[in-house]
Amino acid sequence: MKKVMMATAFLAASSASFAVAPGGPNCGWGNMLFSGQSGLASHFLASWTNGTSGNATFGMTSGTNGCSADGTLTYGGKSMVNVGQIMDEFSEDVARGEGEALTAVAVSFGIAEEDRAVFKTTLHNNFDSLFPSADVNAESVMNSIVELMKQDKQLAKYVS
Amino acid sequence: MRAKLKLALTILLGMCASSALFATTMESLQAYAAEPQWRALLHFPKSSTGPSYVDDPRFFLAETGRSSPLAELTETLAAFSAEPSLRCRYPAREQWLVEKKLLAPAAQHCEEYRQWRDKLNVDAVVLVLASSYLNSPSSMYGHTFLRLDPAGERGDSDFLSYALNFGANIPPGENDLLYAYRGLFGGYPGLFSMQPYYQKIQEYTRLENRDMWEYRLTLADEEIERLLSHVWELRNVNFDYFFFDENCSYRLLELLEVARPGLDLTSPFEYAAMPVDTVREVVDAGLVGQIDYRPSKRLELDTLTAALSAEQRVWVRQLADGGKEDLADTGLDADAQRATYLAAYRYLRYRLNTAPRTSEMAARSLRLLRGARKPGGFSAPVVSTPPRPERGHRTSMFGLGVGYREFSEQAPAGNEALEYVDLDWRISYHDALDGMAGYPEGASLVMGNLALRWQDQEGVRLQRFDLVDIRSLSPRGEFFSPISWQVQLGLERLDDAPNQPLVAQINASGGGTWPVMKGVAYLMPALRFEYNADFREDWRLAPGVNIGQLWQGTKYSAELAGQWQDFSGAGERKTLKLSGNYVWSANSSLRLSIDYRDQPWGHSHGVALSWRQHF
Repeated sequence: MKKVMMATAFLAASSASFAVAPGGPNCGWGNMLFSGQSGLASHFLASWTNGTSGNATFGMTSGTNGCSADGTLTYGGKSMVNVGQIMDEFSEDVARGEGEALTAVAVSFGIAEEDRAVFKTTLHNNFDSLFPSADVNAESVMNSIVELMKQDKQLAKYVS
Repeated sequence: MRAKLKLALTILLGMCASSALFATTMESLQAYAAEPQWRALLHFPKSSTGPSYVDDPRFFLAETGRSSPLAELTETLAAFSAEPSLRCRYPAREQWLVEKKLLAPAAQHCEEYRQWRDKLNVDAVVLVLASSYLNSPSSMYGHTFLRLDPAGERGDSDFLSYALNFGANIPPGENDLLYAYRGLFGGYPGLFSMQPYYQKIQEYTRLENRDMWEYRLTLADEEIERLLSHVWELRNVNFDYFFFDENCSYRLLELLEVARPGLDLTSPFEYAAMPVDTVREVVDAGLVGQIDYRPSKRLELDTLTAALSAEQRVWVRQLADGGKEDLADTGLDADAQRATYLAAYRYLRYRLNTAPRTSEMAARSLRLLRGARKPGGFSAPVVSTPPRPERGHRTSMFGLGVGYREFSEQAPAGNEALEYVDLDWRISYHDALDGMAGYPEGASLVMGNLALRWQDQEGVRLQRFDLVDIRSLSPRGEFFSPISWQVQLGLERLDDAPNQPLVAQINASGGGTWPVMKGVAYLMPALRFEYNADFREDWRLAPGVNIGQLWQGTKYSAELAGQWQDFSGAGERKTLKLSGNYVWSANSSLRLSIDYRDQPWGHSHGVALSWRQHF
């Protein structure tokens, strides 16, 4: 039942860019801010058996229906931490200007340690343009990050 | 069998002769097959002669491989030379055979394996303990898994690490109830799987309120190499999962034994492997460097709200509930406003963890997060690190005690008083009065508690046996209203009743707990189901109430507990008991209790003192 509802919400929210974005609800670039953890299917059972639900990968493959099972997604040919799955942590880190999710995104972009502070400050200062509304999805957040990086002397080299 | 061996040897000898390696005889192969590292690679028990723990025939190349390390060795050598691509499926075996000069190194390129290794690019391994979680039977004792940290810059954020977990793999569409049953009683197929570590963080710290402890292992590069090459061999290989012994923690110890030959971690855990005990074993073996603590989101939130004023806390709730839009009219300064917004934001997010997304809640969340922002970034109060779980008391207990009970009317054996000596043995784990260090607050988890009593004229008899006794006291507060509950199942001798009958009983209760006088007070309506062969109606059901006050500490703990049970026609049972526990050293304590009982068969009061040793 929950799945059906989620699928419906997914369809209702879909847009042109959404349709081509890989991943389904709660897992890919189409994932919206504040999606919570309801996507963790049969969590109860997983916790009961100390197990994992869904297909157990070995960190190897993208799982079914384009939903990243190994925690990464490709963005502009680069393997990125799956921002869609860590949107909650990431948005709080941007608001805070620091944090593991923010560092993970910086490292995924290949940003060297000496430039990371600039990256974090830049994102922090531009919180409102990264998250103009709560209905923003991971892909558009990524696009905004790239735009911000292009405009910065120190960061432009990582996205050129 | 013999013919097969001969064939294998012929192939082997032919190969070895041409590459001028050692000639191998049957006798020396036998010696190699008995080597601990070969047995470890095949998951044979360390201290017994039983078959391999691997229950999956696909893991073995020889038909009798599961029971014979020698057959598997011979067949592995034969198969590797007949079909060199098999080496890519067993990189750890290959490496060991080459080291032992039983196999010539090959220029074999294992594409898939290499890709996997390059992608992980591991340079550190961390043992992670997720603390116990009473609301899920399989997690009551905690859970352990490994974290694989990538080398270089990618190692700078744990969000880029992978978790290597041994547990059930639940295929989509699997019968939930069957799995739930087998999760408890064992026997479902368990296997190793990997997932991003951030998913584990989300699962434990967000969804289950569990703290995580990260023990960085001091493994050298070649040890990590052995570990990962063996993990690859276990891909999709099933072990039957058993709750107490063949569980997640035991499997990890086996992996560490493979990584560092010569280690013996598993021997103490052949019958039961409590996650925290296995962590202690790994720490004691000198395998651990840095230790990090990752508090649950709930604890972070509690720490955050505790730093606010009472007025701010009211606004936190109003902001999260939508009753208040902003803090403009509150007169709070900018910093206090931000702290209030942050608490409201985290509180709302916490409550919505498992709820489907709605745009209204998402918009409110973003508004609160914006309010919490601060130019230059903010910092939230840091949760102070509690005592480490592996430094807590050990998980089994032996107790020796004396007691005295005096009766106001008639004593069970005709005396006015009785004296006794109690011998207690508890298989696991922790009760609310035991030293708190390293254990969760408000939790009691007892499985397998046996008490034998010696008393004058009666000799030694079973006094009590608790199969399970679990109590979860979660205080209710401004922000959360959790249910507290208790289940208890076992045998009990009614030592103040005539003839001291042994009764079987089930107790269940559910209610609330509140913070009171630096401790917690609880009130829980209860139901007791009792079987007593000595009574006229042997089955009895009694509603009742448990009420009490509990103070817990690392050194002193105390509980005042009142119990009332109404057996209607058979009268009411009322008891009041005060217990105190003094922790003498990490693993020993002294416990004193006094009680007063008003039972259908008379009044009595008693005192008991016991020495308790955890082991």
